[in-house]
Amino acid sequence: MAKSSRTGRLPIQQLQTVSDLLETPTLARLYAHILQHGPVTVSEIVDKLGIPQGTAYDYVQNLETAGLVEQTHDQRPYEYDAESISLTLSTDSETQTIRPALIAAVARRDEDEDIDVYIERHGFDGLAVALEYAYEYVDGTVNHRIAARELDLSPLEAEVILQALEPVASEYADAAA
Amino acid sequence: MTTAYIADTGVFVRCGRSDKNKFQRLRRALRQTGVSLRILQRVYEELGGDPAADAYPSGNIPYPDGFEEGWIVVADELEYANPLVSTVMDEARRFIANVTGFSLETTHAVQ
Repeated sequence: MAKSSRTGRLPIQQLQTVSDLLETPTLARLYAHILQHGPVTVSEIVDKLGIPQGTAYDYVQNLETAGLVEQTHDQRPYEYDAESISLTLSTDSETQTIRPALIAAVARRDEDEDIDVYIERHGFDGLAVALEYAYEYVDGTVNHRIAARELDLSPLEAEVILQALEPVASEYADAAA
Repeated sequence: MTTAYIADTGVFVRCGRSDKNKFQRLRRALRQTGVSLRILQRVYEELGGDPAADAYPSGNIPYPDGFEEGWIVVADELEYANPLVSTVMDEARRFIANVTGFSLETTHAVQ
């Protein structure tokens, strides 16, 4: 157990896991759910998220191997809790940190087409920056016009994505503070 | 004294999100009470000014129906020479600047 959670913190391995989370919205939903509501059992996850049981078991096992999820109850029913993620990536000119809120935002793309379209148009980097403004939007210190100007979007597109990210920004506001 | 109902862009996006019935409920409520929403020229331009926003389900807002049926109207431009208008504007900007920490110039740009 200690070994698996240790390997999860190795940067390049973590990068692979994060890449899986970003590319697989259902996996991202499962991770975000365990992180917010854990410890939980797999059957609770199946009930809450409405995903097939086999998929849920596979995904929990994948996340456990990656060290992001840990079994907290030794007897049946097994319970799982999640480790918070923080992976900072830098290129020559840009730095971005991937945190649970971004994973939770990506997790919504299957159910919220506005987020899906935004990712198609602006990528995960664009979504990460928009999320920063969404915290301030929820806080009331930024409106869609300021965000539009700074993100180089039309005011309408800014309002659409800020409202789409509002539930995530509200849920993760404490983590961002 | 009369009451004017002023709506910003966010109201229309909010009514288009996830539940399209919300827009119809807004329409029905306004028509039943005989109330019109006034929008700034700027809001009018925002609602219709970005073809890229059509790609978003929530960016595709049926606001033209509101104009045709008269429950959305574009407000007259404010006359800044009117002392009441300029006083209210100055106070609003000062309030926003205090709350947000933005400069007075910025608050002008975002109002």
